[in-house]
Amino acid sequence: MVPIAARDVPFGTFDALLPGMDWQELGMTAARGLLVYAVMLVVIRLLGKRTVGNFTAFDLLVALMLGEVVDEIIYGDVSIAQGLVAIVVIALAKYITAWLSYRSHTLNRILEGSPTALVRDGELDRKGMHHELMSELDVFAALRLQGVADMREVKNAVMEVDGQISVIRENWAEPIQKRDVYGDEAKKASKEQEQRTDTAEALGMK
Amino acid sequence: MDLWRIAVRALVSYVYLLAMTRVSGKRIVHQATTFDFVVALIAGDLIDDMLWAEVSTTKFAAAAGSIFVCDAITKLTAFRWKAVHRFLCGVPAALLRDGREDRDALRREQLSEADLAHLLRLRGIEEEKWKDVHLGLAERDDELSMIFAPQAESATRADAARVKELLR
Repeated sequence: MVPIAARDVPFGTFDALLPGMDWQELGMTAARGLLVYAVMLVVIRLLGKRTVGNFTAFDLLVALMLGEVVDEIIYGDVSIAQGLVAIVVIALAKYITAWLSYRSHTLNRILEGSPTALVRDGELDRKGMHHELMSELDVFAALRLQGVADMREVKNAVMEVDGQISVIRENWAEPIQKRDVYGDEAKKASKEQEQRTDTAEALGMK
Repeated sequence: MDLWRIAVRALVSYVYLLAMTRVSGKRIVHQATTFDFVVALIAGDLIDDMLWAEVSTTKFAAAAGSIFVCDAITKLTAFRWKAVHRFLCGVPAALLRDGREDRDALRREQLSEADLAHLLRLRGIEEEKWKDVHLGLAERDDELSMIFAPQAESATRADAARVKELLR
């Protein structure tokens, strides 16, 4: 680490504009950037979909850890071998915990926690709310975000392990389906509109 | 005092990254995949060393630039070639078929049954209504898309119009 004062470039910020740039070092930096990019691409892909996305706070943390490790590698502050070891170990640890929690329900509960009920049969569940530190206002806000106007519509509202809130509506409060309109004829009715362009058809799963 | 220099550096890096993200397209935030997220983290992480003058501005520009160029090239090849797209994004896996979970697909995605129940609950579907789902697909990024069985598809204005027609 070289303090700014000790640098021989007069205006550190604008050294790009000055002669005497170290082109070789810049090239090396870009090359290391490319390598890190490729490695991370493969690692994240191999870790599977669960790395971050909608899952738990810890999944997010792992992504942060992986992202934080690499700047020293790119700048050449640590050797590529050292950097790769760090990345591989973090990724491996993540892979193993994901595999373990997939295999064992108990471990899954320990590592990820379990969902907490916030509303049951249209009534607030005070115990669950207290456990998740969700106030009445928080719960109502979450319900509003899901389009709930009336508490009686809610059969269950649950705080999931990833912090999202899922709402199961009472049967009478669910949106209308084809079967509500056509009854037993529903299948026929939907077959009649054969002109549809099926968005899942390309996957060959129909 | 070098405080002003830090301020200028902060501003320069901010503008540089802003320009880079604008050039590399909207997708870096919208429809962000895990990897897009990590790329953003890396880019953000490169700044601090530059701010404290542990590396030069040009070195920062080279590092962040190479990351963004790689990203642009990768996205372009994924757009051009299906095989690359498949490697990067995977293929949507059918976790649920006609109300029954596909254990092989779940294992491949490293999802437990509890995870599947979680994904369906988030879409407002409890276990006894799983049979309404013709296909439950794990799209990129853990999101579940659903194709409903014919009778459980949501009714539309067209259906209402038909009923009106019949009642006339």
